[in-house]
Amino acid sequence: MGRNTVSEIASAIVARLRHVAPDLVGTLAASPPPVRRGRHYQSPLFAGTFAAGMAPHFATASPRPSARSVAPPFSLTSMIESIASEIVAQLAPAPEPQRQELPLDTIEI
Amino acid sequence: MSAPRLDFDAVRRRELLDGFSTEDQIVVSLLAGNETRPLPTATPPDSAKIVERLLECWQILPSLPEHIFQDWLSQFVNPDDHRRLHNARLAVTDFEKAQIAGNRQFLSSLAQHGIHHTLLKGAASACLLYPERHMRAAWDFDVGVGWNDLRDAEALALAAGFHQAQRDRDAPRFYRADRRLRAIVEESHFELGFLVRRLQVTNLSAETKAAIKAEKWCHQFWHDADTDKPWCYAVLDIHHKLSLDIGLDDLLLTVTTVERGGERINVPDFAWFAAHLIFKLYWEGVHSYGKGLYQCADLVRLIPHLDEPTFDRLANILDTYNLVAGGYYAFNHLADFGIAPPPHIARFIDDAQVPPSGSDPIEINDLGDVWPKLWGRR
Repeated sequence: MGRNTVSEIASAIVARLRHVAPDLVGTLAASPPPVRRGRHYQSPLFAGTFAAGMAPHFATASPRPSARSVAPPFSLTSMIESIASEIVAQLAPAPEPQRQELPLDTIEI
Repeated sequence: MSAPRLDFDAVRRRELLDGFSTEDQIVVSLLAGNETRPLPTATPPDSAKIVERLLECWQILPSLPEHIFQDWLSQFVNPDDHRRLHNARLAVTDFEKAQIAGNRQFLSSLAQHGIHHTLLKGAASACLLYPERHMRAAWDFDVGVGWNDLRDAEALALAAGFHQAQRDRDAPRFYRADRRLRAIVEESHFELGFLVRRLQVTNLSAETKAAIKAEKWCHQFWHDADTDKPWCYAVLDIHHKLSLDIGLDDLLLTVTTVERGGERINVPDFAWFAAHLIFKLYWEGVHSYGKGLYQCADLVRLIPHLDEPTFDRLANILDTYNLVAGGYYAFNHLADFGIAPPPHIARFIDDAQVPPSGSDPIEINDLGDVWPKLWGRR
């Protein structure tokens, strides 16, 4: 399950949720912002699930990847958890963009 | 290029101005930008109200003739208010000069690369209707190009020192653009997102710097105003349409070149320029209160350029884009500025005053008279 695919599925679910369950979206969006865990974002909302059933390939301190471990075996549970985590990440308020002042040019009028 | 003469006797004969306060009659007179006579002052004008109105119409401040500003206007505003207006006029005039200077290289690049383009809106008005370009100010510098040239034009703007930028929600400041936000805006709009330069004018006069520092109202244009080196933005809007419904291709076919200050500048012909002005004056005016009054100054100055063949082309454009009602409401108020419409425009007003039989006001874009709304009246 590639990261992009997870992200696309999450985006589709989020878009649908915004239409059919805006209240739920509001509740989820108000939950604490996700924290980075390994390569994946994880909300505290799902921390327990992750701690209990995290698939080996999500481990932060994984061994050096071998040819086999680069393509981990398919796991429905981990895929669902990954999507759930991604949804929460997408619902979280976007961070304020960094405000970068424009450079100053000098001119004569 | 002389402005039509304002005949206040004619203005007084019009009942439409009867409900106007003396302050607003003074503003009407200044919008028309002409010699004026002393106004009937049964009720002494309120100096603060005149200042408020004129600052709302800041785009015309640089156009006010010196003798009218110094001698005539000073009869109606107290010395402190006159000083405020004087400061605002200086600040806006040099702000506009900075816009012109800040866009010069970009316009030159467009010409060098053979990109067919034209100035639009205030930038075009300044070239077509005022003795000098800096006499008609605007927030943005609007340029139109064909759809196929849009990205090339943007690349030239970036090469000329502009940056993709976005406006702060709470302050008149620009920052480097969030690309995602910009894409969303551009997808549903008819122009590129903001292209902005931050400019420090190295030869601002001591008087202008003092004016900027003293008048808080000017700080929306000039930043770091309390220092010796105030700066401003130059904001470029590149359009590929006039609105979501009105394309630019037909206008681009009419582009002509005028010479201003030794520069050759592309502008629309008067028929398309007038159509765009009417669209903005009417359509924006009926959808908001107290917005766009300053554009009446353009309309008044445009009339001498609308000869019969030009006006016929304008009428065709208005008809094509369902803007006849807008044209009627715009031209019908010329008399309020003391302008007697020439016969061909009078005929248009006469023909358009009765909507087509059985027509639905919404279908013919007739949202009523824009005049009271321009003045913020409900």
